[in-house]
Amino acid sequence: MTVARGCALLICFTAIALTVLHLRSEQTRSAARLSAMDARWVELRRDLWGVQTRIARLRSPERIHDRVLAFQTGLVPPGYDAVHKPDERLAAAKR
Amino acid sequence: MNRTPGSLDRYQRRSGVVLLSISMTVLLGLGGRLAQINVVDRQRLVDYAERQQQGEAVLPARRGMVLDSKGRVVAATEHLPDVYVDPTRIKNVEELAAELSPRINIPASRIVERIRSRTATQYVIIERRVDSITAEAVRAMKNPAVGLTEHPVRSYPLSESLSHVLGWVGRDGHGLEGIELAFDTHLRGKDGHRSTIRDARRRALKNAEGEVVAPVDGGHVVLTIDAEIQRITEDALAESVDHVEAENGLAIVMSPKTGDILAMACYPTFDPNNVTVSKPEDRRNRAITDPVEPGSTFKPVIVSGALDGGFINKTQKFDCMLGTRPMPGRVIKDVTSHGLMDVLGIVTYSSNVGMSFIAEKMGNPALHATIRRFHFGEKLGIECPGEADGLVRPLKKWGSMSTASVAMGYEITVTPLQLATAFSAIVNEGVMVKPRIVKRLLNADGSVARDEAPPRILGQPVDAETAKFLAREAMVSVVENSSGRAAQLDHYQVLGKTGTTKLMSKGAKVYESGAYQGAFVGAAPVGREELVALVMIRRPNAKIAYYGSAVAAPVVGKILGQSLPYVGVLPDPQLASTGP
Repeated sequence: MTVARGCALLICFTAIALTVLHLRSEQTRSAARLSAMDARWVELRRDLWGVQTRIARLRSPERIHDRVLAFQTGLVPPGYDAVHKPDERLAAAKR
Repeated sequence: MNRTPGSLDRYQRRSGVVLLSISMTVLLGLGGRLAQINVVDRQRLVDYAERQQQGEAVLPARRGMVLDSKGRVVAATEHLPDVYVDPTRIKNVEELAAELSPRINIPASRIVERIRSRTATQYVIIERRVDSITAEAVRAMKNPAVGLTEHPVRSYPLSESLSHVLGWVGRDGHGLEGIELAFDTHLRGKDGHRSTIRDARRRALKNAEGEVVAPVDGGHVVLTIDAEIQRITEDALAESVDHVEAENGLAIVMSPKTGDILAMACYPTFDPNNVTVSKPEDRRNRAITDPVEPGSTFKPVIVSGALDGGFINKTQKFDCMLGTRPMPGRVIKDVTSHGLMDVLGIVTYSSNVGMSFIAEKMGNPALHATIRRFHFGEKLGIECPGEADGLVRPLKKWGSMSTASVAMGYEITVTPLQLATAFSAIVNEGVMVKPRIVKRLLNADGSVARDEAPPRILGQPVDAETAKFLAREAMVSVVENSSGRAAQLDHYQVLGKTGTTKLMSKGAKVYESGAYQGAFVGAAPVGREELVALVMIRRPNAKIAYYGSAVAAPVVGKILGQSLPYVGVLPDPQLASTGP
């Protein structure tokens, strides 16, 4: 084997080794990315649940009712005008 | 110096031998070490590496949500962080407390106290379940001694509203009461897990092969309850209980046609987000767990049996003896004195004397059969834990006074739900529908696991014509002319029946002086009854008010008056033109 052929063979082996190394590191990096995405998925699910709960609190009738009254939007809670005042009721009961 | 080729060869050979010997020794050493690692110490090192490299990450399953009939979330699970401190990594406790205090809104002195009380551990919880803003503020400290750990927390966005129906969840994530307990298996998910390979800094590098088990989220429960009607009911109930300084109160709103429970409230209430601070007696859903003597609200049930059985007719007159009837061992009295009255008058003015005559005409077997036809004395099968049967004693145990007592709603106990359901049957032209509180069950992805079933008919305990007479004449008359006036509405005609019951003293089996339960059960609008509402106020301050007409009828009026427009029931045409 001549020196030139030996060098070519060495370069070939080196190239193959570097390629394998690159693929292996890429595989590890991808696996790490996948693992991070799994963890992120768990985090996002938690965030989603938190947001859903917060929305539920804001949508609760009590909160809406309080906001309607506090902001004085001119809106009237359901059936508000269709009933007597409590004092009128007690007076009616005593009659 | 000149070297001969021979001497060079010798030098090279010697060097080669030395180098070869060193290489061989190193290689042999390495080989030996390799053999030791791979053969002798293999298992120990593999276990050690796995412990060091592999980590188990839990993939938490979500406990399903509970929703009201309009899709509002009334119970959900979220993850909230606890703020903890590692005392072994603190340089200066006072400095750390001063920095942490404004972020979590706890006095620095208390933080110092907590840390110093547990210096031996590396995990001292300073504050539990902080919100996202607080958590972010704590993270921004970037102090290695302060950390956050997240835990699943069951949240009830309506706070104290609907708490008796929903129940609550224990620290282990299992339902302990109410819907949470009844549907625990459906709501509870199953946690998944994945094994990860970690790097030297314990960061997850990759998933270990074949070691991922996906979490299975729990299903959802959709209730028949409407959170808005629930709010209206709770507000009205609380106002009355507080006003008359009562021990407690309860209310049920239901649809007589479908049996759907639209609201079920008890007051005082509790916050399921923080159960431990409430009293056990305030956590009971008394609308289904506590049977009570129904008093005069029971009279329409008895009258229905008397009319249906042909024991009396609508035009028959009874001498109500001006409200006092002496009987062996007791005197039956009315609140107001009346002479001759037909059955319409007896119901309208809730005459005990008149009812005693009607009951005597029926006789005990017919009375007992009437009561059983309305399913009193047995569970109605509502999907909430703790439902009581009520007490209907067997005929052979009825005494000499039982006939009159039962006709007045004593010597028998019923749950408020049973009473509301029986009243709904009368309102619904005699058709008794099974009450229900769960509309449907959903899978975690929203697909239907158990669809809404059509209303289940329990029977026809009263003839349609008799029911119409009782509902649309007798009980309308109660509201128009008698004790139910406080339930009248401007835009809807209301029907109903009041009841005021003496209460047994706690411990002794005698009626306690001054202890009453005021009740009213009503429905509206007359002729197209959409809602039935029952309110019971227990042990009001008798000096303020105690009759059902004063303590419960106004609450029913308020509930119906606000709920009917909300559910889209148009005002009665004859009343619509007359505004308040």
